[in-house]
Amino acid sequence: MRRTHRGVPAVATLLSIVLVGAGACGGGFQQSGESGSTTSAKLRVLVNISPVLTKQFYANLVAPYEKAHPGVTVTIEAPTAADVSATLQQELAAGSAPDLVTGSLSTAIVPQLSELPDDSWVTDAPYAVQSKVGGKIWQAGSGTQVQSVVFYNKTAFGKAGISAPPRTFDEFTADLVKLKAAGYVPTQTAGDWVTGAQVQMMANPNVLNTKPDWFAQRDKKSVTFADSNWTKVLDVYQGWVTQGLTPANAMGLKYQDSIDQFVAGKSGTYIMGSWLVPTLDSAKLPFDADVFPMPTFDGSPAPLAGGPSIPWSILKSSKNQAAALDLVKYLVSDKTAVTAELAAEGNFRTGFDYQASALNKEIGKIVADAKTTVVASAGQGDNSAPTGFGDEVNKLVQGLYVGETSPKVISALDDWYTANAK
Amino acid sequence: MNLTRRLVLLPVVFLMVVPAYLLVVNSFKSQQDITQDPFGIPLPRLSVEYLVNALNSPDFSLIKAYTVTALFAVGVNLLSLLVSGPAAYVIARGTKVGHRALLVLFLVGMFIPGQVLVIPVIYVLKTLGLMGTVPGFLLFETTLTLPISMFLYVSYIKTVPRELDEAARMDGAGPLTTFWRIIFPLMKPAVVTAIVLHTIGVWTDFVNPQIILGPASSLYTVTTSVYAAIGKYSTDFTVVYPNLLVAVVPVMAFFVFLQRNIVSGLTTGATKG
Amino acid sequence: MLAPALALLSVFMLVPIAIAGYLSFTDWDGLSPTPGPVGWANYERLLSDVDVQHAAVVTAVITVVGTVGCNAAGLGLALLLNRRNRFTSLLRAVVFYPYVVGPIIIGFLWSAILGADGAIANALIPLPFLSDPAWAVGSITFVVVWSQFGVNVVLYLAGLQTVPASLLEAATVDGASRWQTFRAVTWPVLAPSVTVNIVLVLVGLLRVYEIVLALTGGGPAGRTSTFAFLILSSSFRSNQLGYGAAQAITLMVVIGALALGVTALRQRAERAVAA
Repeated sequence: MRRTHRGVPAVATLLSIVLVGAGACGGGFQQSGESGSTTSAKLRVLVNISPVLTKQFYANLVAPYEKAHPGVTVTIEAPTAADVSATLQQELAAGSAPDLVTGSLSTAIVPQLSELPDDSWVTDAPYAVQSKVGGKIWQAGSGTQVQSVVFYNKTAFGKAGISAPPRTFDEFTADLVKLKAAGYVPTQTAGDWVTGAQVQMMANPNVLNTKPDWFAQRDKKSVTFADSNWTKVLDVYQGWVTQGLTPANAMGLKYQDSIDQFVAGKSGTYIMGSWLVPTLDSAKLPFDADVFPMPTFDGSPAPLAGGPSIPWSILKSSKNQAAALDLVKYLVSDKTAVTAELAAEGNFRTGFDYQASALNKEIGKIVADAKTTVVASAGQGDNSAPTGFGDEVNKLVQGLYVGETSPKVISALDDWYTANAK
Repeated sequence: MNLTRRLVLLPVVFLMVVPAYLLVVNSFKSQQDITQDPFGIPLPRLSVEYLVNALNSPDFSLIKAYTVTALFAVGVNLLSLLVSGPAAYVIARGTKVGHRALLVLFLVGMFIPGQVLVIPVIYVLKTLGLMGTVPGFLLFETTLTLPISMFLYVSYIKTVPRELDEAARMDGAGPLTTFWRIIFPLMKPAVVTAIVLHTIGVWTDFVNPQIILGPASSLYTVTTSVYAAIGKYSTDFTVVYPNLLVAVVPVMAFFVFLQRNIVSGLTTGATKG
Repeated sequence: MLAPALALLSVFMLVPIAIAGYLSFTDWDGLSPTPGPVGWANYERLLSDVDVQHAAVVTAVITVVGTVGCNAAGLGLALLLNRRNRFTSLLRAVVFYPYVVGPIIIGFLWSAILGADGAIANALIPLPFLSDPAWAVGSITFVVVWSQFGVNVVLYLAGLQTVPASLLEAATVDGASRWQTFRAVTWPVLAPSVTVNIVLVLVGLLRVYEIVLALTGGGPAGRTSTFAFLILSSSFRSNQLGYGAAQAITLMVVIGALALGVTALRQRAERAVAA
């Protein structure tokens, strides 16, 4: 029978493919790219999409560069997985990584990124030096974003009989109670990624003020979440949840919902990064919006927690290293590009001024008044948390809404960190 | 009986139809009208503006997405038939234990969750140089159709009398010729069933195009386009409803037109065992 | 003639399973050049991982309730629709259309209906459909059944065509009640159909992913993640491809075991009704 014999080579193919395939999944993705030319290149850029950073925004951002460099075309690519980091992981695995990337990346990815030169346009970029990993500069931001402020509804504060913004968390909580009595959602939050991000914004200034290299120390286990102000912050937050000072349906809201509610004047306060400013400025607010720095436990001024805004990195695998570097240089040092990036998110950088709104100036004042600066979210460079920290914090903090308690959250956080630390 | 029938059927119909009603009505309403009165029809304020926006959305090129998805469906169906038809013929006509075992091997695939396969498949495709490419995607999707195709074709071919093969062999035809010339023309019902099932499968697949095509290919199917268009904006109902409607209408037209074939296809597909 | 089919099956199914199996014994993060062997550590971690426990419970609830729901609704409706007229084919289309639309679009549509600012909250009463974990799992299960039971209706209708009309008439002549007729005549003939329906739904529901993605994104607090969702969302996000592979292999084994187990049980039941 002819056809049964046909089966034999098929099985042989199968076996050889099993062997080749299994062996091939390790190794071989660190092909380093070629330098290429700066005048002719097709650059793929993976970007972080948000309500203010749309695909169109990025397209407009690079348009002048493309015009000045007719041989260079830039393709903007939005994440297809949950976020930039997960999409980049997938693309690296697939061997189809872009040339440039912008968005928050974990330091685990740094070996896949090109080292940026020690030139002044790089070192001048906010957080480029602070985020070094093993001495290597791997990202350059276009500005600084502030993540230790609380937006508030001044009109609501007036109606609730609150004369001045709180300085301590005790005052903050007391004000929230008054806001509730006045019929407002005391502090706005949402499910999505928002819950965890807000608690990080509360914790970072209060944890890192005494130990700026806290994450690095946590890696060595010389500090723990349980022994730090994280415990106090979570106690405060749990108190808010149990007293109904956050929206009852918080877990059903998306980020945009929480913005909409604050914009509509339904909520008294909203802990959010400075990137909220352009949204508030462009909305016709039915109230006066203002901002105050994150309260502390003893009322002393909190350090400013900040991070790079729209940070750019180049992938090692890119075959257009020279062109990619030239584009990054444009994006973090050209006046037009940088101010466009700053204005989009209401961020800051000395020497790059743009038409700032009143709210923007208020945040500027907070920035200027701050005596010290600490890193935001999951840290920077060698002083940063393991991959997935933000997701884990978010998930655990949301647990407070579904019956968990703050001691349990803290111990779960410590366990997770220990299991995942480098 | 008729009363009980009605008492049961009415709520069911209501439950099934209401989401579709909301989808259609709210595609023409403003955000305010949608949130204030989701079920209402504010006649004077209805507008096609939102639908037009959805059609012009930079994230969702309707015509491109439909063309891409339709071509994928055609490609997968063709490949699936070319590959599984002859194989099913050999297995159906085979008399050895090995043939039976091969069929089982193919059928086991029905129980393998796509989530198990898709991540390792990235590495296989990468090794083959096919990751992020249309051929790579088509080959993987075709593989996912094999269990159903093999099942349908083998059971169908078994009902075709062997005498036909013998006659062809007398005329000097090889097995491949015999299959395509003699057997294949008789397999129409099974082929239609397979095409219906695979087309729905490819059309509604989200994970595989999302991961295997990725952002690099810049190819979006209907499902990945919808995700790109509304994933981040799911609170703006003037984006959500019109985009969903735009994605659904052509499929529904297709469904209404071919309902009988789809249903009978599905039925023979699952009851032939 | 077998070679192309076997090649595809090997390259895109058997090899990937082998790779997943291999990776599940490593600590691979998807980036390092060589995966480091860790023995059974990933599988041991599965047993103590709270996220996995939550996902297992959620998946079990969706699967059990959903399988019962799809089959009860499917068979019940099929019995009511088991007559030939225009009305029947219209109703069949009405219950079946979500299957053609596909889960991701269905998920987004229902999220606009059940969400905090959705149609029901705004038109009727705000209930925590998606914001409370227990409610959210209920909502997911409902939407899954809503979108899939049409297939069961169609399959059961086909099964009912195989019930010999002569037997039904004979039963009526003998003065059997409707229930007695169903029990004695219809049910035994339908037995194989029931098996197919149960197995198909079961296997399908164990991999629910898109509806979770669109409805809740696994939240709040990760309490609505199904097993399939956990695998796809955690592998790349936390750089744990080895661990993700262990989850995937586990899911595959569970599905295989359940499909085999249910088929075996049903075969016994089928023989019992036949006897």
